Amino acid sequence: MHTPTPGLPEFDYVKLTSLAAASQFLAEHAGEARPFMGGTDVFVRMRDGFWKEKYIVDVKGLDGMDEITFDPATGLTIGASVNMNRVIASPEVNQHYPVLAEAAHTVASYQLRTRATIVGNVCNASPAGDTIGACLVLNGTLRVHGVDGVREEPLSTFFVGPGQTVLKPGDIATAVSFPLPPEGYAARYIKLGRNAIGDLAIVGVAALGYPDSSAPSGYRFRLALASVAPVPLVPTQAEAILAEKPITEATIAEAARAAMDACTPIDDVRGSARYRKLMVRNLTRKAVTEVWERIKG
Amino acid sequence: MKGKWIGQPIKRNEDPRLLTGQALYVDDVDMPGMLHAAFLRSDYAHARIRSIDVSAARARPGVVAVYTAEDMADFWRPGPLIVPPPRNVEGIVFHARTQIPMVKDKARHIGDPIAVVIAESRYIAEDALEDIVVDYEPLEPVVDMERALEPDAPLVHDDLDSNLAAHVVQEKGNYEAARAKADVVIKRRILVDRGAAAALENRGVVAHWEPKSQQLTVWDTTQAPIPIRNGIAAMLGLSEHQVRVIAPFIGGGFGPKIMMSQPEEVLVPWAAMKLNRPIKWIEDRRENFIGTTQERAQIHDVEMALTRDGRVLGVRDVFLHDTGAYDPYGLTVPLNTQSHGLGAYDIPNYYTEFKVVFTNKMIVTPVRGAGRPQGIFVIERMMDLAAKELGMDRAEIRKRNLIPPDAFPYRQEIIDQAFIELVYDSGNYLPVLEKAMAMIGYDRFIEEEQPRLRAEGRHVGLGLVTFVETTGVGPYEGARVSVESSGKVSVVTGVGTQGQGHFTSFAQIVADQLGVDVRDVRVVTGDTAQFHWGTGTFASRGAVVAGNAVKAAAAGVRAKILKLASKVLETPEEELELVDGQVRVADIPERSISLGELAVMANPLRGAVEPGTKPGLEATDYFGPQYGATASGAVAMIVEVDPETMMVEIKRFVIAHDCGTVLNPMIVEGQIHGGVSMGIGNSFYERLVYDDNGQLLNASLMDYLLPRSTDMPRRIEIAHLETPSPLNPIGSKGVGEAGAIPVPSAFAQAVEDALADYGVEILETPLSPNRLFELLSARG
Repeated sequence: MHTPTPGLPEFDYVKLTSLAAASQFLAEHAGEARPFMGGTDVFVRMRDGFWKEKYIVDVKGLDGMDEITFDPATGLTIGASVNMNRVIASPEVNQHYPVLAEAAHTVASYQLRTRATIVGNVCNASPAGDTIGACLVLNGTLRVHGVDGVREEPLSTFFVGPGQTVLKPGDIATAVSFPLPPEGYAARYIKLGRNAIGDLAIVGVAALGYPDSSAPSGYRFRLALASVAPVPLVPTQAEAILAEKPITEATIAEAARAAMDACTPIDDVRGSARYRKLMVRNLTRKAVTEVWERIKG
Repeated sequence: MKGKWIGQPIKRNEDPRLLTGQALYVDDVDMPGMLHAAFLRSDYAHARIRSIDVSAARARPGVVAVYTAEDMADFWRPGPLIVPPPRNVEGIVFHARTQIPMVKDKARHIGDPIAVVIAESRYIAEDALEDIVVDYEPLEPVVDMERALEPDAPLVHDDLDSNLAAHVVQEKGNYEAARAKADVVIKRRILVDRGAAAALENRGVVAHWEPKSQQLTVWDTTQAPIPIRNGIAAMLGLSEHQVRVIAPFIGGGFGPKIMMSQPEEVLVPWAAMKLNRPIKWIEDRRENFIGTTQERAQIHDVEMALTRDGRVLGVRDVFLHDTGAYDPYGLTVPLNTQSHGLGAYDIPNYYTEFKVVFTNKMIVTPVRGAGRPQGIFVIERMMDLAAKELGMDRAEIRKRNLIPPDAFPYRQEIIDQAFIELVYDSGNYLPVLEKAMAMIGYDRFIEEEQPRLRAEGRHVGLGLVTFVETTGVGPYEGARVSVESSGKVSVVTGVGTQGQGHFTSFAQIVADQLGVDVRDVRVVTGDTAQFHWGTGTFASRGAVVAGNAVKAAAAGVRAKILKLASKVLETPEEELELVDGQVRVADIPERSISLGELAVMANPLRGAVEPGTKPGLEATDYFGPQYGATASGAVAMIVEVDPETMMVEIKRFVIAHDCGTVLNPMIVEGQIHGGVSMGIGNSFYERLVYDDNGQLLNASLMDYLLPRSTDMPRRIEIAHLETPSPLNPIGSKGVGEAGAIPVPSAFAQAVEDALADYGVEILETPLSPNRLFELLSARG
């Protein structure tokens, strides 16, 4: 049980002038300092007593983190301080990676999305993170500034547990980037909450499909599931079924069942584990079918 | 009684201040030297307190005082029994256990206050809460209502033999005899679960003791400033004239703010006097979930006896009502359920029995609807099941049983929350139902649209229910109306205001009486220094009871105006008219005098006030209804259910209602919109989830789901029908709860209809996508 008297604890707000200095500070205060961007998760978690950092390090606006750039040769990069409303409004995103905008659109409310960021959503590593699935199916990579310099962390190996990632003290995620999406692809993110808009996900399903002659079925699909496992889940068995068997209604149903079987959800006030599993099946079927309708010859 | 102003959809006088952020709320009160309070609340639903160590908290810099029950000495006493049980119900059992200011022996629910810290800032006060060490001895909690009545259940109140708080049996006619004659008897168990009132503004209190003038001023988010004033004065041993309670603008009441002598309301004024410093406490949202009263949980075992042609011969309803850890509000809620258990129908035999149960959960007191939605949910669900059983159309079975227009006043022969026999004063129910049916296109939907959509594989359903709402209960309210020398009019009344539009509807009543512009009438509510007789704003009674008091006072002023003007204008009263702020001779409009000039003459600087008259164009009057007026209505709605996810979308929503004379249709519609959104919450979104330990699992707005604009129907189509109440001169009935009462029953019926091919029966509210899915799974 968390503290009975929630309220923001006392902490020091730290703003440094460079990424190097910020990384240094975070590394020196391992365990008692945390970087923050929009603060939409950090301050809620602190208010509710889950996090008790002494230092909150503001990393907004450091070294070009505030840009969205698209390069037709290499792909899209979204800086860590770009808020979700900017992602939703970005012409490049809408033209080349619309599923990012679709996923961002399901997060909370407009007001919150002026603070919330995609990179923050990824680093917070909630299994319910709505934009994480889209980032996963787009083969996203996180750019991380650490004490030893800059490195790339593929999202496929980024998540370790609920709220836990491979990031180490001193690490600051500065951007998420995506390669050019596959030729002829389509993607969808379907979120189910308890209401039309605004609730946390009971279940979220991201699906991306594209023609691929190297696959026996002629297509490949990438799937990612929210809120049904300790980490954002990629149901590889379901992906394999869609690559191997000719795509029919029955194959999609089989893949959807495989996705369901891959889940290990919990019961909570939003929905039971059983409901979640069946919703994964239904929504995977729906998402894959819709993507399939758009990509098939 | 439409007038130049009454009945018109005019814009509200108060809105410019509200919309531009100029209105005063309790949290806007700021005083030099003001301290801040924070409460330590129990982590356990049921625990004995072995010891409380506050020494570290007291030592924290910036902390001025820390109090526990022990520090209160003789001031520690359980709060008042706000509503005692009715004395005229035979065999009634009632054990009063009223709310306590702070825990002395054991905590009885999550959030029970244990200590209060007073500090230089709220930050310091909250930090100091963490310094307090409480040695708890956790006890087994009792959370489930049925479990609470088992012989070996842990006791919430050790001095009682069981967790039974009350037992009431009432009967109209003879149900058993009716049952013996019935062709069909239907029996079901129906559940209603808990929800929060979830006002936008949480509770708050600021208290300021002025030692030199010996005056205590309390700003409080209360719906009942006058009773609060009386309670605080009594508790602190002050004269009622030494205490001024101000209920300024309040961001929603919805019932819990009628609760009096809540711990914070008692402790903040007490501490302010003790410390000689103003103190503020503003509830945060989590405190609101664990420290503000809630409602609705009941379990009904209900039986309905009918003839083959759909006439209901009788209803037998035996239910449990969860009152939480204490029962300070008496039996208002279950009595309301009982008195709404026959809905709008002429049912000659009714056996109704309830047991009120103590549990280790937050206290239950009225929340918008206050027991009425449960009663309507039960009777309306049973009507639907009966229609199905008999193979009858659900509109038809309702029509066959509605109380006919010539049966009013209609006696229900049971005692209701006003402690007198429930009598529906007036109404005309069939046209209301038919209006709702016409608006939704009932026949066309059933015969054409639904079959067509079903053939397309879509799951659409219709809900159609009727409801009644007892409103405008006594005892009384009062008002004082004065014409000032500017010619403008001031109105003061004792009720508090939480968004009902009193500043406009009361002004409309006065404007029609005095022939002034509604914008020239300034209304003051909720300040005991301005008016100190009255009860409060609750039970949909403001417009009815205070409204008629305003009218009576305005009529008194009108009489004074005419008397004086008759002298001044040397014209008989009957030839005078009040128009545009003037009194003028009807036939010779240029012979006139303004109300302002008359007001000056009525308060002479020279010369005397004649014997038998009083200075000023002012009158005070009161109104107490003989009994409450009963409003009615019908709701029709169409929903679509996504069979893959069990998400429900409301496609159309129609409400036809009759609240007697409509003072301002725009305000009435606003009340209905708000009520409907609350009803939608109670249908599909809002459920407080307590676990087996009595912990509230969704004590935040992230987890407790309020409906949003995107969950509301695009339009709420409203029709006003007006059957004026004979019980008051304006002819009004209340409408504050009308929207909230019928929605869950209409929603459940619509969803059940949409899922007809799954054969699911809905016997509970609120639902959720997950719960619907479970119900379907249980059907296989």
